[in-house]
Amino acid sequence: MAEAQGQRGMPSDSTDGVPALELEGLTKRFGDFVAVEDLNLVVRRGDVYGFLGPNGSGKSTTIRMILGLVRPTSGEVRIFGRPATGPTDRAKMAGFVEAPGFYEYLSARDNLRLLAAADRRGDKAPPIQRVLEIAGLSDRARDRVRTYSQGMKQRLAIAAALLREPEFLVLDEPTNGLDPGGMRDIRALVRRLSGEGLTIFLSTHLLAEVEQLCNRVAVVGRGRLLAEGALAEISDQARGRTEYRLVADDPERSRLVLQTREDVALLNGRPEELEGFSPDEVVRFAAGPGGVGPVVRGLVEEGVEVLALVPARPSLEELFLRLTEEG
Amino acid sequence: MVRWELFKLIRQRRTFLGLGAAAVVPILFLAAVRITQEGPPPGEAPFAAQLLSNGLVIPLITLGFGSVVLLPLLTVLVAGDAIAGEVSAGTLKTVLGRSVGRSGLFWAKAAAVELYTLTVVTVFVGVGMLAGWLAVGFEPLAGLGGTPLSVGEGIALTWASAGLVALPLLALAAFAVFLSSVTHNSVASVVGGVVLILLLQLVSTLGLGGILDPYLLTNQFSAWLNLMREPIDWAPIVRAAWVSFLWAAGSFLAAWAVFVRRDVLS
Repeated sequence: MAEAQGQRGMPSDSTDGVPALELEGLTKRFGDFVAVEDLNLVVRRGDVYGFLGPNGSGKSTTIRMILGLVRPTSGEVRIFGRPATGPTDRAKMAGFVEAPGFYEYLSARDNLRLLAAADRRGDKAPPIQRVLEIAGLSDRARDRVRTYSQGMKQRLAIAAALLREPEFLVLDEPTNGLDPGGMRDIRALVRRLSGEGLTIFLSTHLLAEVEQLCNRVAVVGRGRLLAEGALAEISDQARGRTEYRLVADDPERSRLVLQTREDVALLNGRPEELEGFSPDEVVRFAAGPGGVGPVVRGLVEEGVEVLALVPARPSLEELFLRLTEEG
Repeated sequence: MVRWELFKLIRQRRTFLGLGAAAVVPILFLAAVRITQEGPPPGEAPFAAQLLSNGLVIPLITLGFGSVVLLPLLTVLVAGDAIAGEVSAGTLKTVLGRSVGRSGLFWAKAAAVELYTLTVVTVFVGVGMLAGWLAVGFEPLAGLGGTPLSVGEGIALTWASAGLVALPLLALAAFAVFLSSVTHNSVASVVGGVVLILLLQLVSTLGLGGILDPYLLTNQFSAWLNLMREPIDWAPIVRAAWVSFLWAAGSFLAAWAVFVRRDVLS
């Protein structure tokens, strides 16, 4: 955490200009229930920022506060440096929260015309046809939204967001309820938009999505920020201790040696893959604060020949569960 | 924005249900009268004496009974849905994500609902008048004081009456919008609006209103009868205007205050 905060102050930040989004002490209470508690995070320009958390973690409430649908109990949302209090402060932002809602009795085209009118940009708005094409909906533009599949509604929601020509896009579980093909299309679209320079805030509980798309991540649970930063940073925070995969000439003997050491915890569970070795040869262990140096020395002194020693980065899934299930 | 609110209204079944009922009921009434050749006994309802002989009384009689339940119901049917309908469809969060502010959206909705209410009254009276003219024809109208009114005067006074009935309806629409804003529930808002009308009518019928009775919203629906007297009694008409205005202004301001602050959680 300290590391992540330190980075914010670094000079590289100021060259990027003001962050796209800053949440400062953001808190929302519904009666006695604290949905979001003292949330602080920064999304820099150009980030594809993964917002991870299990259901009921306060993700949606946070997004509603970012979009201006819910009033924070305390704290502040800043968008491109401006405290977001009204629609003009959110002019560069677009997005949606949970299942996007459209007028089912209107066609996709009429929905977009209506939303464009609500944007009050007049002729400055891009042609509706163009955003429909980007979303791959041109063929069905005249059909009522009632006849749309879930995936088409998600794409329409992205089209509606693009109609604002935003610099900052907020997407809440954009692949929710889609088949693998639909997911792939949306992810390709997100990558493309990011490539065009958009900053993207992507809320999801799909870890694969984060690994594929995001450069930075925040993990929330029970309304609190559990970890924030680059993916690699987060795994360091979450580990606390460092895990290694070891291959020695005699796996049995190396296990025995490791078992006797107080600064080592042998990790069982599923066999670890390590290229060039069979899974039963690989021993997984966690080293204590003293690091792995004394461990290796101990092994060698006991006559074990170390063939390979590789730090094991836990998978995002393991991290996620570890973070969100603690306490 | 008002244009788009109206666009949404005219694409919804609920709106057509309301306007359709406003158009059909006068025709059904006229058909029933022509078939049975009977109406309420003279003296029981205003203008009943001319029911079979003068088509001009058709819109007036329908206005009389329509303002008790039908017109209020058709009004709240749409007004109660104004905000709640968008909440339950999840479209409110979509629109609020755009550049239109909450106030701008609210007043556009308020204007669209009031325009719908005026349209309902216009259709109701217009269809009744047209049907009465086609089926029976127009004759000079016997005013409530007994003074005869020419056909031209009769038509003008009928539309003036429609305007007067519209005032408490506009106020009721505002109240239904208030319920819609507070409850975020369409059915509760529609039922709430109807219950208000029935409750006030009950209070009045049971004589519980005391000195407040003339100021109850429901008692403004009959103010138009005073237009039909010679000379016209203006006091109840003026009262209908300001009582309706206070209801409408109070309801809209309260609805607006809730709407601009309320968390949108659907």
